[in-house]
Amino acid sequence: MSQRSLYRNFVKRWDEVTEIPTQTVGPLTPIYKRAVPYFKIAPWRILMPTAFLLAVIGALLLEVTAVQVATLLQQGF
Amino acid sequence: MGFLLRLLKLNTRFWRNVWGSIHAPYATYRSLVADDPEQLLVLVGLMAIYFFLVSPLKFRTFHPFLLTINASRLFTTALTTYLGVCFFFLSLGWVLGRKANLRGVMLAWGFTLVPTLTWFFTTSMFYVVLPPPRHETLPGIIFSLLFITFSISLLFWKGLLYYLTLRFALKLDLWRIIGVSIVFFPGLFLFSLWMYAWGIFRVPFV
Repeated sequence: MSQRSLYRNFVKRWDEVTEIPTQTVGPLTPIYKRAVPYFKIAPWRILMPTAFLLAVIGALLLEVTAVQVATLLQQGF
Repeated sequence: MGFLLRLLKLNTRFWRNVWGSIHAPYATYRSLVADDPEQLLVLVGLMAIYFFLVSPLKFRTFHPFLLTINASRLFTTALTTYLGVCFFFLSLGWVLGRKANLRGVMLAWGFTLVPTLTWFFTTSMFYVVLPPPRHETLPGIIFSLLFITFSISLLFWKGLLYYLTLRFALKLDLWRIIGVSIVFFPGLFLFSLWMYAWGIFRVPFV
């Protein structure tokens, strides 16, 4: 790669990164920064088990059963 | 031949971005907002195919005229909703002083329709293969839990892509994203109620 194209790629990447404002959440920023990598690559590894847990907890805690919710959802299209 | 090649390239790019939005959504959305907007034609085509295929199931008729009217109504409503949301986000972006462009917003929000379309298509398929109601038997409970898990997973995916749309297309930080969401979600809720009352969508296609 020539120096010119290397410089151009560098400037392009620099613009890409600096265009978006940095994300801060006040005092929770360190926790946010540790949690975000799990959502950047293959977030389904976190989201699918969480969804299953929510479904099971919902089925156990709520008065409506999973069967009733699924019946309702199946007619939702 | 050139047209077919172009179509194939668009198709490939579209599905590569769909895979990217599943496996590496952050990196995909970062480059997606500057990508070729023509790939949205693939999405529009898929939506049209879905609405025309699902109309006999939804309206319980094979009358060609009724099918065409109803499918066109669903497709037009979904497309209008999509464009309305894009312009809504664009307006909010300008109000908040952000340099947003229509192409980026349309691409980013367009790909959030992929989980929506996936849910609608899968639900329609299960309506035919395993029509409701579900029963309180072991297979019924297992299927119900899996279906609810699937629905919640797609909702999470949609939520993630919604966040990335505001982050990369409108270049907002977290607090502004929360502010936009406070305005957007009540409006979306009212719109959904209106769609339900008019018998167009039970679950909003948004």
